[in-house]
Amino acid sequence: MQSNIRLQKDVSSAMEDLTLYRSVVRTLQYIPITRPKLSFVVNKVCQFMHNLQDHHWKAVKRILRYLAHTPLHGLLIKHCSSSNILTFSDVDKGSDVDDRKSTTAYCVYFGSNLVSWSSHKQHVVSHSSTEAEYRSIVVVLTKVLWLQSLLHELHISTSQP
Amino acid sequence: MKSSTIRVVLSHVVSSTWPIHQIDVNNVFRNDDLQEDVYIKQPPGFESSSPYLVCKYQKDLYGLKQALRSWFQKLSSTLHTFRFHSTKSDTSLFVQFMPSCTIFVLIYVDVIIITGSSRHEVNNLISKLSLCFALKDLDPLHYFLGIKVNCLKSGDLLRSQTKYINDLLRCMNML
Repeated sequence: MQSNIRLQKDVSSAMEDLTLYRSVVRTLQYIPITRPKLSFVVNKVCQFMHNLQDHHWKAVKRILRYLAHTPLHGLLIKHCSSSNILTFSDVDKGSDVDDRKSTTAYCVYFGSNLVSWSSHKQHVVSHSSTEAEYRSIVVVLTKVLWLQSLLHELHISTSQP
Repeated sequence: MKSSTIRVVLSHVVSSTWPIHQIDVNNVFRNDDLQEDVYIKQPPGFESSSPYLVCKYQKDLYGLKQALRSWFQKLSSTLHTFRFHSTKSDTSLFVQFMPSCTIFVLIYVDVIIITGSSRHEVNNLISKLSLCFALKDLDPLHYFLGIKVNCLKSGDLLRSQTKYINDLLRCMNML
């Protein structure tokens, strides 16, 4: 998706072929399993299933064109001697122009391999950027705690994240 | 099974250069006897004279809710007898820690991934499992849950969905 475009509810004319859009978007939902880069855009176009406009369809077609040029890309799992847990998280406060909810994104690395990531809209409206950031950190922290308990059960030693 | 679990296990496997095996179980849902009574309406073409009669299942059939559960129970109790235990973080990941080696078993319905620090012990487990179930050993992991796993020369793994993407593009006449 172009970075300067903000998708919102009603700015252009409604799409006619809803079934086509929905079936394509439904298929797209499984692509981020090996393409973390597409998590944000796919999640974004999924938010407009009920109220489709022409510019949403254009965003979907752009994703498809990107996929057509990069079908061989995937997720690489490579050899790594360290077993640290490294986490990045960010929030885009009030990014949704319709309801002003914030968007959370995070990724968790185990050694040099990406093992968990997500990009989604928060469920409540945050009053400040601090509040939005804290919400984002809580989400990623639960993920890290789960990962730590899993590694503990597998007897894989890690250093603290 | 969580997708993060697969990635964590694969990451550990690649880092410690363990052997990895994928196993398919044939006819999962036709192996078991049903634990409870399940009845169905008379199928079209086989109606008897009385419309009030129903049919009773004798064996598990694909699509039955009970079939999945009884299959998993059967498999996990078999693994328990081999001294495996499931992890709390992910119930479909079974582990066994022996002084000499460690074995992980990942289960997704009828697809089983077995990996461990000792090639001998992994092969041993596969032969023990093949005595209990009809198995198909797909030696190196190549296709798992619709994701292609390419083993690179360096020992790294590349997971990609090229076929899935191409199918989508073909539907949209973009290929």
